[in-house]
Amino acid sequence: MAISELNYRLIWNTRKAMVLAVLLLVLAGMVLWLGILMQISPVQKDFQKLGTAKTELEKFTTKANQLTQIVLDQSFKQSAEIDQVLPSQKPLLELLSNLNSVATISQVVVRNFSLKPGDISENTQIKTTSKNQSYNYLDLTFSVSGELGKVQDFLTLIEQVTPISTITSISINRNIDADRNSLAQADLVLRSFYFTQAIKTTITNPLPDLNQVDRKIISEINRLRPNDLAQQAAVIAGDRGNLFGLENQDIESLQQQLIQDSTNSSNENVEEAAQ
Amino acid sequence: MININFLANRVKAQSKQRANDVKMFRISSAVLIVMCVLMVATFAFKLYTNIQLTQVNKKIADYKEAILAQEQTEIAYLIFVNKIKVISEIYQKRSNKQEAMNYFAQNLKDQADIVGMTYQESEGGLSLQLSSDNIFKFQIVQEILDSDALRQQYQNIKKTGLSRGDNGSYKLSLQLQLKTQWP
Repeated sequence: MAISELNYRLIWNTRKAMVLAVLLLVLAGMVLWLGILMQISPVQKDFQKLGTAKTELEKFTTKANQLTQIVLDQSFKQSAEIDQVLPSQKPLLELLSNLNSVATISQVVVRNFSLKPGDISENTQIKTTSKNQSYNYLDLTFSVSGELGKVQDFLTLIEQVTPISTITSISINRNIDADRNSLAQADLVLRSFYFTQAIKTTITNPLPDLNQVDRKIISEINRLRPNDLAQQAAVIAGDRGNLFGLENQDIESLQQQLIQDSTNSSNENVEEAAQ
Repeated sequence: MININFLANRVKAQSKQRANDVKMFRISSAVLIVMCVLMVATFAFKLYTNIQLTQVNKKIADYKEAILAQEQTEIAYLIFVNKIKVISEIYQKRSNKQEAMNYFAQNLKDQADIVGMTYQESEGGLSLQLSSDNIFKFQIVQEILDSDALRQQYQNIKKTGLSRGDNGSYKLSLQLQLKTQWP
């Protein structure tokens, strides 16, 4: 023990610089291991995270800018018109209204129109347009009769009103052998479209852009005649008057009035019985 | 010659050893300083990355909030765009049947009457039945049908049937391929 202590002292006294040099090298090794090599992996991970976050930030920035832009977009301001052209519900009333107004304008007679009950029902999806169904349609079968030129006008006009409709079947017959000025009879199938696609928003997905064809479609849509059917926002009473005479009465006053009436009638009955 | 001055030899050897030790001390000090500088640089970089990450995450959170606040606008816009795509699809399927009918009615006005017409969207073709009062009018109809002006408008016209009535009238059936209204 005494010899070892003597040796340590001897080494320290004679080789102090070397001992310190070894200690510094050990310390440098520890710094290298703990302070540098052990930090490389966490720094790499942080750097990767930063890269991913920056990419994500770019997406969010783009989307936020797009959302700011679309509010100012003139085309998007026409969304009400687009809703009229392609409604999101079955356009049965609009279709019938169009049929009536176009027939009146083109001076033809519409008869024998038929629609399947399933087509009218709100919750029945009867036709699948495609695998990714984005729209559906109502098929209305009917006949039109009138002079050939007027039937032609009808065929042209019916595709120029909203909601968007297309004639998918035409069969015109004229018996001019019997009568030179005989009227034309056209059996038609009119297909009226409505939008059924479920829309989902994803916070990171960019908004789709409108291309030239889409903008051309918008300008084309402006040429269509809007449907003149008024939007019904309240129940229409039918102006049948006050059938029960209960106008402007709340439940309590009505109750009191009934009690009063029943008391009066019972009093009258008692008086009659007494007489 | 043998050097017998052992003390001088010993002092000389120790001095040389001490100089070597000092040299080694300086080298290890330099190594330690370099290591410390590298460590500080590593931690500084890590701190910088973390600060940036925090700032980017904060910005993302702000944008998310802004985007979610405009969710209704986004839904309205997506519906709007998808409706335009559907309308475009519908337009692309539409054929110029009315235009064709009006064209033939106008061009054959005094020579033939359109007595029948059938059209099925799924088949894409339009068939017309024309009736001419006599052979002379029918001949003019044939000339019009074979004219360059008409063939430029409708390349695919097939004459599918011809019949003569008791009253001398001629009935001709035509089959024509329609173009879509939307280019």
